[in-house]
Amino acid sequence: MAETEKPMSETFAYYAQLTVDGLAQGAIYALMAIGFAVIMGSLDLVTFTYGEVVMLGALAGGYYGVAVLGLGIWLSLLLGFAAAWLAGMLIDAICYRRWPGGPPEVWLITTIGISTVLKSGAQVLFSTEQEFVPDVMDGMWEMGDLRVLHIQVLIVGVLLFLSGALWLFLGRTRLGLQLRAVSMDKTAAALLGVRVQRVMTIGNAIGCALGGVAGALLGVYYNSVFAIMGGVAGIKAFAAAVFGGLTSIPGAALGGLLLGVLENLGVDLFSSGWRDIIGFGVMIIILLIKPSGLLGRKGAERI
Amino acid sequence: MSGERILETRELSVHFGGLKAVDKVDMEVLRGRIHGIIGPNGAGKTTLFNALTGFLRPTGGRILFKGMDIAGFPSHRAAELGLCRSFQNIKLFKTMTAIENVRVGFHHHLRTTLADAVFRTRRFREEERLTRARGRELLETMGLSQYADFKAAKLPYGTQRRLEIARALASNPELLLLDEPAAGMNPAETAELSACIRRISAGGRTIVVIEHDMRLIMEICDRITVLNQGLKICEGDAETVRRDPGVIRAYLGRSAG
Amino acid sequence: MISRLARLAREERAALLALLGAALLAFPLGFRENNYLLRIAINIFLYAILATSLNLINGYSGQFNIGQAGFYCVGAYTAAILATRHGVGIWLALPLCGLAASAASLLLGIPTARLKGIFLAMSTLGFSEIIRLIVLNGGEFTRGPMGIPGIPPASLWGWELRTNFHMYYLALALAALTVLVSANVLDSRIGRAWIAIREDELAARAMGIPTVRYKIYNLAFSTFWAGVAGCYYAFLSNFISADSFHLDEGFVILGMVLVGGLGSLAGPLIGAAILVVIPEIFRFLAEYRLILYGVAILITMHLRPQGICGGGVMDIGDAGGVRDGEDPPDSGAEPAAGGEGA
Repeated sequence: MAETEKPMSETFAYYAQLTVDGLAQGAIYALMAIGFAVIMGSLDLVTFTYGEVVMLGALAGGYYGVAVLGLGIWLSLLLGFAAAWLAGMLIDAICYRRWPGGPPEVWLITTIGISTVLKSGAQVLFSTEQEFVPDVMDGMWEMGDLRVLHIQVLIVGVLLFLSGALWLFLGRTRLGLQLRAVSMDKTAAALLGVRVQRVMTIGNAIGCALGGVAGALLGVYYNSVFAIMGGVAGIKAFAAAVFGGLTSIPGAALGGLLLGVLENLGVDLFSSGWRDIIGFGVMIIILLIKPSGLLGRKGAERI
Repeated sequence: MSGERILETRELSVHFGGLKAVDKVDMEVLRGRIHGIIGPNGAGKTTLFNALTGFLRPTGGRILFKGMDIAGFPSHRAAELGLCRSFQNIKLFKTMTAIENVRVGFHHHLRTTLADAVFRTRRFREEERLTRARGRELLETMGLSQYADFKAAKLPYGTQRRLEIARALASNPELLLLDEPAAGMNPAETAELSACIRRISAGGRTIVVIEHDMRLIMEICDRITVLNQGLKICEGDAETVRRDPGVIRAYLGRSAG
Repeated sequence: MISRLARLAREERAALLALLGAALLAFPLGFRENNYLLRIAINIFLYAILATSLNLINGYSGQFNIGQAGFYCVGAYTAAILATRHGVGIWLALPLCGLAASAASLLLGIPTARLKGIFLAMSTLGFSEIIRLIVLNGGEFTRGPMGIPGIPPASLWGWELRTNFHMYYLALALAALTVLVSANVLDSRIGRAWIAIREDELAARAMGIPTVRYKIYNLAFSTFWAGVAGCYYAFLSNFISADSFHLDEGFVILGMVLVGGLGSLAGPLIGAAILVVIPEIFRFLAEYRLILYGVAILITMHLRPQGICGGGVMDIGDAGGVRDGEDPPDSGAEPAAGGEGA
């Protein structure tokens, strides 16, 4: 850390740079957290396997899409989206459908089971090593001391595009409205003729697909994918989503951005080995201060 | 000892945001009596119970139990002080047997420590023997002897309600609070319950009971408090309550007024 | 089939236990030099301790901990540091490591005692990972990624317990101690309080149980045994590193408890035996070991959610064979014939 006796403006630029990098990273976390919030919050589905879905998106989009098939960024992201969507359908069939409305512990257990299968399966079938993903774009803009990579702009653009699309979907389409109805009250939705099971399946798939895109972005941004990246990804998605009380989509997005920035500043303070500790620490602290999320409302215990 | 106030609320309020679930309720329960609380649905009866037993923190007012202000005490302290309750929607320990359910009720009277349990010391053995024997007695009091070794979840509905009372009695409460003990019971079961409650009362305990079954309330209660929309609208013996125009209005709604 | 075995086990308990004990004591005499078999047996005992300790939480007090590997890690590192730098022997190290793990558990348990479900699960997971990362970044104290080598062998009255033959008996003794002490505590007002919390936390509080305090006791008691297991592991392998305490390790332990049956004493033992032995039988599947664990969890949840010796915890009702115990007189329920012939 060579930051002794730097002029004021340089120090400012230094932290501005950290913040910009943190925001780009945070945009990926935000996308992960939004997908997670769609699954967790709006569908009451307790899931533990989300991190592995992100990993599958990274393998499909980041590795096979970019590195192996050379599909280019857009098709690769689409591939990540599709692969994670399929994984979501599979998880729904194995882990959720059998126990509709069942005790959440069951879903927790089944998804722990399947995430072990997915992770170890990926290690065996794909690779236990970190695999390289080439740059899809290497340009940057420089503004004085501040540099912004094109890929960083792309990430934020993808986040904005997908959250806009999600917003339109939830607010303007029939299926989106059904999804929101199911999230508020499954029984009432069923009485109104909504096919609750089907809507939950699709909602879960959408959440997973968003995670898949986030995974592909992770692969592209860090130039690497590996089979065991899901564990950390899952915890970060949770940490970011818990900021909004798990259910709030804007809360999740904000939480993701904040987590990205905090991590980057934290790494500067300590060392890079502590990056993940910061994520976990933030999560536990939020859980302790206000388990319902800093932006969430508190649910009353029923007696 | 009879005649002394064992429980008193002074301007007790529980508000949820704008909703005044319980609003400035003054209530007195005399030692050794059976005190009824009635009121239409949503009158605030269960909320009042939850506040009395520490499951809700009152937003205002005082709860004096044997002269001590216990408002806002944690719920497990209520049992230690001698205030134990049953629940409107049965809350038994489902996979435990009936006798084990009752033995849990003795918890705060026991002194067994971790070391006692590990080394099976004399204290441990004596307390285990005692709770087993006293537990059987309590089951018998409530007419549950034959069910002692069955899992609680397997018991018929009315029996589960009586088991809840037996479990509450195990904590040896001076004041027993029963939340709709006759709900879902047929007339025969209700009659049996009524006899049970009288027996418990005869043993010197004070009982507060929330109930919708008017026959039961009028039959067993010495004194009745009527709540409506969070407010106390009447208090007195069965006859007073029966004749009170406010009570009649509350129960019959607009058609009477 | 399974329920018939379970009934037999209940009825002939003492005899079966004596038989099992004798068999376990005699087993190594025939295989003194067979390190492969002894190692498998040792692994079963080690995991039996870990699974029993986790079961005390997930099975009895009904909380959802998936980060037991973290406390196992605390025990192992405490042992390694005490043994290599302070010359502490295994007999003193065992209780100290247990206490160290319990102390660490307070850091998790006190703040999270009010959390439930996935919130609690994620906190335990995060905590486990934080412990591993701290070890990995601990500099001189933990030697970071290099791990701690050169842990001296255990010794007893000047006798070095170097062979697997000796370590087998130590593992057996520790596993037996864990189960015995746990059984004693569970069958007391403390254990009943834990079960009451699992069944209905509000009712438990109404009965005068300070539930928050009891959940913390429960976590501390459980993690004590995870720490003991960690200590044993350190002395067994002479070398430890943070790699052995990944989250996967926590899932393996959880899988054993689930397959064997939450909330029963025999469950974790049977689960540990099955999940240690199966990968050995299918050795050509060595790479797929963890996949096997995941599949075992899924199959259990689909076929018999309460596990092999279900303690009535995961009774979901729709999955057949769930009926346990007899129906009381005049309850109107049909006789419990389900699951008998199946």
